[in-house]
Amino acid sequence: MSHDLTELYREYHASLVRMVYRRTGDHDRAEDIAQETFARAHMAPPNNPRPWLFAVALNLVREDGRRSVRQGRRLQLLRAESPESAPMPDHEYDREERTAAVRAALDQLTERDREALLLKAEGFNYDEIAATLGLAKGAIGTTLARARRRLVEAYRAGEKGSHAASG
Amino acid sequence: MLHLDEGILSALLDGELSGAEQLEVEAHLRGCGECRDRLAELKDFMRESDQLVTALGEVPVKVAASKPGRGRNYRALAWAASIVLAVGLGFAGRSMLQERNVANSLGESGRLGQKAAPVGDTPAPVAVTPPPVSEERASPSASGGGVAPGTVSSADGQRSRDAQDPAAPPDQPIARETERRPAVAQDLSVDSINPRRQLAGDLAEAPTQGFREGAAGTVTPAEADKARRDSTAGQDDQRQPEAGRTEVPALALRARASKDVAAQSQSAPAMLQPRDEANSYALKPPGAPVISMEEAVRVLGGSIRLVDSLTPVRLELEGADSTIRIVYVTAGVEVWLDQQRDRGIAGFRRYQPEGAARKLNTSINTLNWNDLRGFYLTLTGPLPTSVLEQIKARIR
Repeated sequence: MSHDLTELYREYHASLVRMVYRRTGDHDRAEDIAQETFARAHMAPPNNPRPWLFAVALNLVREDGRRSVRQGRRLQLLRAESPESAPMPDHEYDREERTAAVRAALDQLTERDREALLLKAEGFNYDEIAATLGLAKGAIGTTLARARRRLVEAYRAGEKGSHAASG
Repeated sequence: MLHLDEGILSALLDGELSGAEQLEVEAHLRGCGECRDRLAELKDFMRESDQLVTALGEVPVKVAASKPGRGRNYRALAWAASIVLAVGLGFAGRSMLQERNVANSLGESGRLGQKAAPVGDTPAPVAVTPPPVSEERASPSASGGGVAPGTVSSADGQRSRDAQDPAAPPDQPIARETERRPAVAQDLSVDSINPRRQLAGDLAEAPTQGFREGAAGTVTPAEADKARRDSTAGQDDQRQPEAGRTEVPALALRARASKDVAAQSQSAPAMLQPRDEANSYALKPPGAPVISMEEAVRVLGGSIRLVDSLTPVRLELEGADSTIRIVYVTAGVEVWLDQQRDRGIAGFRRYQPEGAARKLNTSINTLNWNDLRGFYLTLTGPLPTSVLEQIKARIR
């Protein structure tokens, strides 16, 4: 493996895994996708690596969307059933609930808005987001503004709903 | 009066406007209450949205917080260790001009990545601490394989190093061969929720049994020769294998894949043996014996099949049927090339990595073939078959 691909791996692997994890909620799947992405980079070294890597990863997520959701559910079940897992303390349970609520809100965004938001969270600037998603740079500001607003509104709506439900 | 659209306002908040543009926008804002209100609203949305996205997942916290069964730990280890080997092999491997150019142009986006770190989150370690990276770059000539032991084993490496030299403060780079390790330890200590720190912690706690057996394989013959030539590096390279960290990914796979090996592993600390020219490896594992290239060639009757442009991490002698396993690392994962002479033996043993596949939750693919020139070969790895085919095409 070349020296520079190692650099790529070192610089972006963690960020890539995190982004895909936030996107899918499945840690194992995120690792697999990251691995697959770097394997492809190894075979065809990209000229503009960061947008390329993240674009490939997002494509893999999209292609495999349904399967990853099923796996995620299965893994959740396995984790719950595993005798080794101790019962979750309250604060962890709250955090898990919150994570689920945020993910539900994120799911309400369009694919493009969601991806732009997650890339921004990984430190991408507008140029890089544009390159990764194949958009015009001028559209990124609007996309992010819309994504942020919709995420917050969806989350608030979800919280309100769940509070009403729990009475 | 014309107002600023939210795209411009977002760009302002995200620092994406040029100096001139920013002046213009600020001038407008001074005179327009409506736009100021909209900016404030956007700012609130931005802040709250950042918090929500951050709440979506701190992958490292999840890995460390749950005290998992072997499966989880294993994945964390394999992940961390694949990074270790990726780094190590980066120095051992060939560099291609094209990719070097890419890296140079990458430098910009790397810096940008540092500047615009995700809110409330920690960037990848390399982005945070440039000095350790350049430190590692500065010492590749010392020894290719030697870099790897330092990176993930910083927790242990630091402990062992402190034991060797208590006077040296752990986070000060020292002008010695081992400076790589304090540099990386510093790297790890910078971010409190850095995934690698958690993983280093996990590694320190993790059962080390599986690692002992492969610790011998930390130095390939090529790297061992290089290290021998460089006398300062040589000694420290020999010291580090006792931590056995370089081989974490390999060993993680091996320990899980072959239960008998793990069972045989001793909990006593591995002892260094004096080096000899015949055998470049400092330690012999209790399981599948690690052997030198010369021995492997002899076992195979005078020739051996290798993958072009990849450097073996170690070689092993498998079982009674004289199968040689060459372990490579590419694209951050371990790939095994098993080979034996075609002696007309029926039922060539087929590798079944069920244990590893289960833990990794990744499909491990295998290619088996007879190269019609006297060798049965098997190529195994957690890579798509198409990628394995490409590796197979480079076998000479």
